[in-house]
Amino acid sequence: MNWEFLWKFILIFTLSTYSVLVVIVFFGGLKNIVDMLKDLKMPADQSE
Amino acid sequence: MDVFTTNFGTIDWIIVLVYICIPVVIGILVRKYVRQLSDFIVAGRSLRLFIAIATMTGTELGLVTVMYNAEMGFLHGFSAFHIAVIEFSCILAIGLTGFIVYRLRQKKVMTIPEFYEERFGRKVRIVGGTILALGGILNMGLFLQAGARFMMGVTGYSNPAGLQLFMSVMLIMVLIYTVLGGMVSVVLNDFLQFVVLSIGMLIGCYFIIVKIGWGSLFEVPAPVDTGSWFNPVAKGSELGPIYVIFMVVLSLSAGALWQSGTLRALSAKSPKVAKQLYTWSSISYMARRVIPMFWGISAFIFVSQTPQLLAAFQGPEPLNSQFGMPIFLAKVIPSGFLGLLAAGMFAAFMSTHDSYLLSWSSVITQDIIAPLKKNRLSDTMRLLITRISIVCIGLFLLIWGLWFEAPVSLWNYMAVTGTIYLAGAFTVVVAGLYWKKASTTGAMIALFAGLLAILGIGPWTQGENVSWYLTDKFFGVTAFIIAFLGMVVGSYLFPDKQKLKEAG
Repeated sequence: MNWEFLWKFILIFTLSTYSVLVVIVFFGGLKNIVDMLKDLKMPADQSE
Repeated sequence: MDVFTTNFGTIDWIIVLVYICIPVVIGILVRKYVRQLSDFIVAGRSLRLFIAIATMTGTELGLVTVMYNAEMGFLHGFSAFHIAVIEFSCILAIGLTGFIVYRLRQKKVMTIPEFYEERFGRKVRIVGGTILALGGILNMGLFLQAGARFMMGVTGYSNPAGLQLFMSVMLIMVLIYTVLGGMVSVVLNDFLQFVVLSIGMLIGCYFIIVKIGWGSLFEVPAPVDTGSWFNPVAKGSELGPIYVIFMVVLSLSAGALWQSGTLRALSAKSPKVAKQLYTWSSISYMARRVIPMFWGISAFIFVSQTPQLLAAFQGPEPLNSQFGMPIFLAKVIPSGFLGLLAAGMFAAFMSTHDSYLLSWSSVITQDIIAPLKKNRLSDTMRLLITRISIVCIGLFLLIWGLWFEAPVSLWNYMAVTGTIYLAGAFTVVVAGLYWKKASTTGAMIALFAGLLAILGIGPWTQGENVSWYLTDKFFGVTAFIIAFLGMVVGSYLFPDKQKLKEAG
């Protein structure tokens, strides 16, 4: 088994997929935060 | 070259100091959103997919994670990558199948021991909660120490009093915003920290590759054995097959049941989101291992090429190997970027601490004190106990971190202390969810079996040429095996009376 090739592949795979994930989670997360804060505020607003 | 020479300058200090105020401000601002215990502990179960991924990564990618993985790379080279591959595979498998997490989320429990009570009764919950808190708090016992070593290495502050100073300041910052805002504050900070830390880590990789050179990264440094640098099961490797087996059971059990990570799945908006969370997070679980290990490997290559540094790490009074990565980063990353990276790392430190403090304190409240009081505690009282527990755990961390020096590497210490809880918990939860014959006695035996793992941090594990049956990895694997056997034998010999009646 060529360990050196395997670890090279793992390193490149990790760096590239993680970069993409960071971009996706950043934009998706911003929207999620707004929705979460609305959810948490809702019961109190309704009772007022 | 002086060991503690650094590029860290005034601008970097400013960046770090400004950045660390942000979480405290967020903690104060979100107080109004915390009205009941479920808001505090599981953010009202309102986490959607992307914010859940960010917060799960923020929790599981802490400064201590960076430190122990970098140390593994520094000590074992690329062979340490096998842990990353195993963990990635386990988390992906959990995400695709929903193994454990789907059913736990369906049950709407807030902590793992809450499930113990539902399935096996109150006594199992109290015992399980106590062992969980013990293993968990011991597990985070060296977080402060490792974090302080990172800050000392990066900033070049080599005064011995620096360790105490850094640990105290870091702890106070975290306690303030966790006590104030609970899970809502933790989630928002985790998101911010996920973004800053991830960008900092990727930039760090760029500078390292430029400094060392892509080709040179895969050349074996002169002072080490060629075979074991790449192959974890090579003859003569300090890792070996038992270690790899330990990593497989540990990654699977920790992936599904480590309270701070599982808390994110339990906070997810639905069981389906909990599954998706694991599938997506498998990438960040891999990154949290591979990137710091890569830094550690590069640090060792750099050290091996610099005689003064090599003498500092391999001389008669060697520096702790945890210093390898931060000392290296301090020399290769330019000022300004170094401040951003340090701020990211400090953020990582806080994001892990807040979640762990919240996890273990909620276990103390929900699974030990409340069941002992037969659940007669009001929400207000529970919130108060949780907050007091956070402060008490913080004080313990400060004392333990100053006093205790692990006999094994930082990651091996984490693995063994984690096993104290995981060996029993994994067996009990899997049997409880998927095996009808699992009994209360079997669960008790399995939980106590996990305590065997504590032998793995004893002084007999230290030094060279330790017998295989006295190694930390052996105690770790044995704890899992005995817990499993205890559950099976205990359940067959002492089945639950109620189930016998139902069957009869």
